[in-house]
Amino acid sequence: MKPFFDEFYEKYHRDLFQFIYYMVKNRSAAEDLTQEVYIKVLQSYQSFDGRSSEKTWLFSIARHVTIDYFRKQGRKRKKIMDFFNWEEKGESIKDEEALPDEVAELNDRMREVYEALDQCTVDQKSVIILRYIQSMTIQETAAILQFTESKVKTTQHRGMLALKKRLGVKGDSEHEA
Amino acid sequence: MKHNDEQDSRIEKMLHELPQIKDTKSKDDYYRLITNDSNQNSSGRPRWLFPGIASVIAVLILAVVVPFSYYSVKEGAIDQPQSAEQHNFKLEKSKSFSSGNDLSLKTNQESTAHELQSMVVEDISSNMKPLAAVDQSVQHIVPLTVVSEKNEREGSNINTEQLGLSENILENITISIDENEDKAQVTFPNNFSVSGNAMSTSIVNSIKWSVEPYNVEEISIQTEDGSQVSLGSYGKLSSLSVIEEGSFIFKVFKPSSSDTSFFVPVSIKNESTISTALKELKKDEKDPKVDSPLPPEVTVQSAHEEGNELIVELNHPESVDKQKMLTAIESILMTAQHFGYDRVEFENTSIGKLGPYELSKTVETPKGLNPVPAEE
Repeated sequence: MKPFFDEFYEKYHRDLFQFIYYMVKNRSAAEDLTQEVYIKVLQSYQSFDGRSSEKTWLFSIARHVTIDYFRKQGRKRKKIMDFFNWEEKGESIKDEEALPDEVAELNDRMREVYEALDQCTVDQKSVIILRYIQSMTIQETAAILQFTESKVKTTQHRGMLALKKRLGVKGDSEHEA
Repeated sequence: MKHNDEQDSRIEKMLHELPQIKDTKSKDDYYRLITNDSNQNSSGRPRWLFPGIASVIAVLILAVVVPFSYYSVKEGAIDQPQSAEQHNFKLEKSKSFSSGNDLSLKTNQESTAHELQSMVVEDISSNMKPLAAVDQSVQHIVPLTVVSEKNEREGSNINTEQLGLSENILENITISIDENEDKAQVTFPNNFSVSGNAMSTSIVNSIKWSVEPYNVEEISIQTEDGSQVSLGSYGKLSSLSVIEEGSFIFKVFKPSSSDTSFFVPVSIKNESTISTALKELKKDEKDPKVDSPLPPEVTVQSAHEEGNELIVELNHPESVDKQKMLTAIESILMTAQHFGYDRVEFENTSIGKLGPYELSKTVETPKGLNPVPAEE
């Protein structure tokens, strides 16, 4: 198992961790989820049928693991909310983790971009991270997310609109000719 | 467009320059942790043992308790789960039509009193054509889905005046969709002219809502000879922006000259969350008049997302008229769809089956609004 893990780690770890980190924006959670991805990969590698690339398969697992994480977080928050009866604040409660040094050192505008990612839905965020932070092609992104290429484009467009709105950038105008 | 492209490029560049976040665990740490985890899981009792026993006990308790529970509901009120099968609605998700027309919902003879009007379509299939009309006072845009009995999209016409709406203002305008490129091409007659702000706004918004179900990214407009289109106060245009996600909710409009009700989009403030949007559904609007789709008995307690799924907690509504409950559920589904959610799970409903929906399970969000039959 060790040689197999070594190979996966060397080839994909950096990208895998970045994807998970930018999805959840919590270093410790990202490390736990990365570990979970490796466990799933090692458990199911025998059944990997090679119909998709290794990288696509790995990132699909990573995406499902992060969605499960959000689902569990949602339930946990809901229980807390029910207990305190804070009906209104369901969506605004966030994990208050301090910004990592790498982000804290950025200029204001870059920090705003980092924070604006939270305005995107999970799908939009996945597409934006894969396309722009990890420079994947539309085809690769579609394969990982199991979207059509058309859905990737639409989700990307809507994600960019959400980012622009948060950044206070004026959007498309009817008056363009 | 150039300005927007530059903005996009700037944001793309900044995203690309976001830093690599350092991982505090080393390769050896990960290997040790994953092998420890694998060893723990492979020893001792199987992981499924306790959940399995708990599930069996829960099923046994339900089997004993459920037959003794009985809800008596008043005539026409929502079914509780135990009685959901009794009414046997024949409403099909993809073949649902507004009442008051030839293709109204069919129920079996015992339940004719329960004819339900569905105001959404699950998906835009090949015999459906999205379109948008305006009401007679040119105050509301009414998105429609024209459904042809023949399996064809083109040539599907409707008489909007029979539906209590204004004449079709897009009648001489051709809309074609390039689904591969996510583009809509709208062609106006060469001699096209429009007067008045209200009419030019209605035309622009009708076009946007006509192409919205296709998720296009661009709407190009031109006349037959390829010129820009003069649209009143908008000036000369060659493109329109698409409807922005999360900027509308859907309330009920009933034309005075028709028995048919329609969902119409009502603009909400920018930056609204899905929770605030669902709360807004509760309000009637006076000017222009539209009704809340949620009856007084139904309140959205909370909403939160889990991935692409929206979890909506209701207030255990009971004794609600089925039609009103169906409209409430569909308005929530459509609003969720507009905010980008693929599915909705309803909590605290106590309702089993309602029209085409099994509310004890996750429900897919619909893609089209206000189905109306084509004139064949």
